Amino acid sequence: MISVSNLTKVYKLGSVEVRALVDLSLALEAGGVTCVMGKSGSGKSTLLRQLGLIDRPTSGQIFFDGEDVTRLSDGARARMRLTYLGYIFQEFALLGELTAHENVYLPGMMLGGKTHDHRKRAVELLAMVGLGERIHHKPKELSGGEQQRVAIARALINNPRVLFADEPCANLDTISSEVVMQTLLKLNKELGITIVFVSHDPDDKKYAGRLIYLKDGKQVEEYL
Amino acid sequence: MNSLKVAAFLAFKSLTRGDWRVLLLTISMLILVYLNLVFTPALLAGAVQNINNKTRTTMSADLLFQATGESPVLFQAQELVDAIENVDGVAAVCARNNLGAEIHYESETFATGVYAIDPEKDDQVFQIHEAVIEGEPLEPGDVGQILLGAQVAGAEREDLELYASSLKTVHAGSTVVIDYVNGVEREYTVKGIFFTEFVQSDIRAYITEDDLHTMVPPQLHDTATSIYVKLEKGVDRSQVVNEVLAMRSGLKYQTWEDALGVLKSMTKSFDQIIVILRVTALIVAAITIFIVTYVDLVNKRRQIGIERAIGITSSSIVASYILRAIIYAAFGILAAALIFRYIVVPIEAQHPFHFPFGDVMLAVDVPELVSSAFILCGVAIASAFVPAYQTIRTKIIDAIWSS
Ligand SMILES: Nc1ncnc2c1ncn2[C@@H]1O[C@H](COP(=O)(O)OP(=O)(O)OP(=O)(O)O)[C@@H](O)[C@H]1O
Ligand SMILES: [Mg+2]
Repeated sequence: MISVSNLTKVYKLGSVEVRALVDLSLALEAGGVTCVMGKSGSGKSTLLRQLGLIDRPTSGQIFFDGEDVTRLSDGARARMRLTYLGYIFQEFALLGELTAHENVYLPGMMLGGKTHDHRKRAVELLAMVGLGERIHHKPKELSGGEQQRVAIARALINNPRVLFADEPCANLDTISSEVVMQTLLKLNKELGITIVFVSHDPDDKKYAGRLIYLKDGKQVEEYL
Repeated sequence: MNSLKVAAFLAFKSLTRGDWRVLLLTISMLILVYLNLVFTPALLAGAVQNINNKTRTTMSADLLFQATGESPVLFQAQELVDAIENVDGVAAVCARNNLGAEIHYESETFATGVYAIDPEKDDQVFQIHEAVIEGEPLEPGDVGQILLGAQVAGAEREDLELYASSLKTVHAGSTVVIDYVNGVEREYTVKGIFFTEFVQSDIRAYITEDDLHTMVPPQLHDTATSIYVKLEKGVDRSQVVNEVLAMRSGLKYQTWEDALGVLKSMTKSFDQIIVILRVTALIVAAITIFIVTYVDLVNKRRQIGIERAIGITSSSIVASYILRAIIYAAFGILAAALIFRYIVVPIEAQHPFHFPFGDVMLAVDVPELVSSAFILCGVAIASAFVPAYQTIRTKIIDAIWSS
């Protein structure tokens, strides 16, 4: 289970302060699918980055299974990201010099064990996201939706317990979006992975078991 | 361990899939740097070797003994020569008398040392007889015959360093007149001209002991101004010195290093020049690697942010840049070493650089090459580490989400 208490994130741009998250407290059930919604600039990505341990909050705490992970060292956070969390970025975020296959097994190599096993598993994961035929393509040879599915496969290589997806379909057409969303739901159903995804499309409510609305960095009852 | 594996993976992929022109240019730069690191030092080392070698084989031998005190002359020279010959580690010994003289030919005059030698013994210690370019070397019994250095004779070789002050047109067979400092004046036939390509040696002239004996009273027949000793290889020089000094009082000695004289400061300057050139070459290498790494880091700023976001450790990322630098350096060094050994050295040997102490060959010192290679690698590592380390210290979100 993931929870945050009194989470505040303030970006300082010179003398201007942007309060992206304000005193936010909430808890997410393990094994669920949660959708974070809100207008542009409401703090959705900021929230996800704090939860994904990619950034540090200005104040407040983040708990994984009751354990405070807010003040972990950079090394320990990297380890957490590697083993416990998967993160899918709003923008396509594959490594351009590597093939789809290599992109997927790289985090496996980092974790250790036999590279051969990771390579095999990467092939399976790519097949699972429907890219079994495209594993030796470089990102620039793949469509946006395909890239996003490679990113999903990469996020899964180390069997994460939680998958964060920041508008995984923002740059995709309706059909690709549906494929990506169905892939995520399948992961939740079959592997029990906790999914937290961001969207500003009200239609996406249907995928989620739970909705969190953000407005000006605060949780609100209804999406307006 | 995993970090290193990932680092090697990332380094290898970016080298093989990155811009090969950058790779080629970087390695070319390092080739030039390494050649710079080894070429001039090898040349100057070759020069120093040459100077040392010429000094020993044409001027000072390994050791020379002289009389202390007022008179520069050693008496009972033969007895001393025989005794020194019997010392362990001595390869050959000879005695010489140095006579100050002026040599005249037509309107030209050359003031120099004329050495009276025993050709048989002298040729075992020195290599002057091998450097005769005109006529013949001296032989025992030659009277009225003189062997002149090329810088004395001139021999119509206008490219000689001291041609202007030489006798200019003297050849083997010419007749010269010698005024010795003791007032004796004699005519000599030039038996030969030698050219050791070592200016300091080529300004000398040699006559035989037998000739000297015709000019001095019998009680002065067994003298020497210096006794020269050639040692066997690897002999403890101080041991020999001590044994000889114990034979007779009133002896002092000089090593060939002492005899280098002005050249000593030159070889010292060479060493300093080598240091300056090396430091410059290493700075060029450092800047090259730094720029290449830095540009790559700037281009991959977002990628590196993503790598870190998905859990690749910062140390892997830094290590991948260090590995790349090592690979640049390794290939540069390897290629440069091959170029140096199989192209530069042979070409230089065919078209050597000419110095006042002869043609200089590149002296290839393998430990020196190896240590230069390691130093270059070290510099490459440091120059990759600094920008890489600075980059991974920025926040991940700044790397990914700021332009
Ligand atoms: N790195 C940053 N530096 C400064 N300000 C930032 C940074 N990231 C976000 N902000 C600001 O914080 C606020 C919240 O941004 P955030 O990206 O979380 O919004 P969002 O809900 O994800 O919006 P969108 O739907 O457009 O992606 C915005 O006002 C944004 O300008
Ligand atoms: Mg966003």
